[in-house]
Amino acid sequence: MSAPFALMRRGDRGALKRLLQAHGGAILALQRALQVEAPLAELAVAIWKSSLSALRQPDPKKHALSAVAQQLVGQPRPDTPIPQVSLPAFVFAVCYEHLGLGTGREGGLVQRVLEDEPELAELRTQIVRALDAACRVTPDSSDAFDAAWPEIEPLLK
Amino acid sequence: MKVRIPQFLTPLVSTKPKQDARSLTRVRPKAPHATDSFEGQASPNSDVEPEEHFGPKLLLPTGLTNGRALRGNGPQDRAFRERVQSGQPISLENLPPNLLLKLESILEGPMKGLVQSPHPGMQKGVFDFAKLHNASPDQVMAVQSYLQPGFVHLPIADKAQTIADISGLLLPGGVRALQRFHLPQPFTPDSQAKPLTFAMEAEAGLLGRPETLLFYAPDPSGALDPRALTDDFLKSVQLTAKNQQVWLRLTPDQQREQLKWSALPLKERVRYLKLHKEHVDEKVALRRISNPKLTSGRTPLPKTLCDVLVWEGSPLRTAEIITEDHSPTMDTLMADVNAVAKIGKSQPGFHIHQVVELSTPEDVKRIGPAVTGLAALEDLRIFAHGVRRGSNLLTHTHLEVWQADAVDEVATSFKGGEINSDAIDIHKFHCVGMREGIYGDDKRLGIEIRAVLVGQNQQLAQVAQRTANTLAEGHLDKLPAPPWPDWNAGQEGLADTFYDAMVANPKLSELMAGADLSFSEVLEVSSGSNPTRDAWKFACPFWAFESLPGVTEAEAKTIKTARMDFARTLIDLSKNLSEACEAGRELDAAGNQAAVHTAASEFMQAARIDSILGRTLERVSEGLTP
Repeated sequence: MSAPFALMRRGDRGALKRLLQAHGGAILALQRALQVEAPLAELAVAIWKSSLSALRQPDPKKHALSAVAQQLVGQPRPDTPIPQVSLPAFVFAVCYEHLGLGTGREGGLVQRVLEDEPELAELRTQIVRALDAACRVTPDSSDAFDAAWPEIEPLLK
Repeated sequence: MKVRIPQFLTPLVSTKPKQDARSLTRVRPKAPHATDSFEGQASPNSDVEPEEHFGPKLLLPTGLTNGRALRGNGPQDRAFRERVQSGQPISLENLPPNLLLKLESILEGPMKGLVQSPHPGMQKGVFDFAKLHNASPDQVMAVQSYLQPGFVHLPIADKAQTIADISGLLLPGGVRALQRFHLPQPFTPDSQAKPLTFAMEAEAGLLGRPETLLFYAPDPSGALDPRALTDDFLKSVQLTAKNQQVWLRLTPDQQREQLKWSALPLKERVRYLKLHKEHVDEKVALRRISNPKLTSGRTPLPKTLCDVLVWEGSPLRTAEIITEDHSPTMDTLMADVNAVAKIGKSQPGFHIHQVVELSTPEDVKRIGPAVTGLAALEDLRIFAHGVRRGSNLLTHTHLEVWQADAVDEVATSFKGGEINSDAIDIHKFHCVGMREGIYGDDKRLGIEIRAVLVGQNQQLAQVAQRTANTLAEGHLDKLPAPPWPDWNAGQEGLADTFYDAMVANPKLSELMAGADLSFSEVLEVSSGSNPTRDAWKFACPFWAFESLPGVTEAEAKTIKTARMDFARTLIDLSKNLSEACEAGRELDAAGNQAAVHTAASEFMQAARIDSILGRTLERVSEGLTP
């Protein structure tokens, strides 16, 4: 059987539903740890969309957590007249580095950003701790997303 | 040698009675451990200076003057001893670490400039320590004069004289470095020479940098307008605990009469300004405070900075501090940058203008394209550096790296011998852009450095100085002037040229299987809602960096390898997106953007484009071929 993200890429909504059932507890734990409020549907859609950018064949749970973290804390800052760090790229690199997804070179970008903007170290720590907490949580599964599924499914495009 | 003693020097030196006018007390270090190992210092039991030592003398560790006190046997110590004994120049880099530490510990105040950057933006290490210990009293006076912070604001003639006076104490190249930094640099086109001039802008959000309000106020005398002091404000204003006690005992009329700008904490100043905007002046004109009693213990900003704060866009959002007028020297420009940088912890974005005058059509024809090439190459270096460091230059709304076509177009616009405002004005929003029409004379052409990463002020100084040196010292001809036939940044279809070549290569057929979306389509998805604006920037690893001046064969090979790694990421994403397309999925993927951004950053890191271009530009600024 194909990995959940490959199935999702091909439009298999059931793969997302099964993923949410299997790892919904971890996803909710991540949200709690990051202390950012967002509707469940928003998190589910983020995971669904992230199937398009999954590099290699990732561990489904780790990739789902990475997608949710990016959704919750990776919103770009408003444009300013001066260049600043690209927050989405930074959060992506933090998640990919910490969870061992991607090419393995993402840690370099994290280090370079932190040299220029050391205040982002706090955000990195927060993300890393939240990811660790989510990876440890039991039970990993949850039926919380099942209740929201009627709301989620129409948003999956 | 005649040494002028500026007024500001007097607090550092004192005269003793019974000594002639030349005699001044030596600069005594206060550090307690800095006594027994110094040469030329009076015995602790003697208050009388030997006559031959009248006048100021630099106190240096003995090890610096004869190497004897340096007992270490490491290679660096031995090399240093040999250097001292053979009378060779001794730079900061030559000093063994223990000696440098000792030296740092005894230097005080401005004298620390001997081992640190003597003035903001100035490189450190211009002095030759082998010569310093034999400096004459006049030379020592000149060194002290040079190291005073106010030196940069002295009249040009005084600065030139001081540099001449200390020239015998400098390392080879030191005089040139000081002259470049502290004196006007004439820009010498084919016709009449005119000085290269500088100006600065510093932008920061007011709320992110409220300390700006320590230095600017609606009324520089500190008075507040009673119309803005509403009853609600007077009731709710939070002053310091001490002031608050007095405040509560006053009647509203007394409060209106007595409340001053300097009594308001920063948060309350922002609140007051909102009311000031509503009830008094919708433009919220803020003036520079020059009275040190009104700047909460901080030194007021120098008069070279604007008297009236400029609001970028609407008032109370982005505050812009600009130089009041252009400056003919780099040192005053850097002093202004430093003064603004120190206003608050959060740093502003600096823009630096460097302006030359092209008086004749021949000047315009020859120099215009060369200036364009210099701006575009520095622009590219800053862009490459920013992408490598994770900045948002790939998607920034107002800052865009030059496309090859635009470089060629602007360079060609000078062909007729005129500065064409239509061709140039649209190119101000680059990391290093070009300007005209704002410098008081239509013969003036400017380079505007805009996108050095915020807070990297050392790099800002480096970029500004090397650009200035290249412009002023006639090194522009060391760079090939555009049009650049092989440069292809932003060329349409560039990413797909690589994609098509990879698809056509039978050795890559396995790798490319399933990657049906072309690279340009992947980049279009990755650039999100602004593909027209941004997709070409996400293709930057495909630009022909290896064709640029100064790139070695080995570097060209590294660039190609790094490019292949970038292409692999695009292939992965292409396979994902191809599958999704086939399934009818919607291709809105923020994750793609982050993945491509990270891959582009890795390309810049591996290929070291910014280092290569930095080396090229540095060599050119020294008059060398890339």
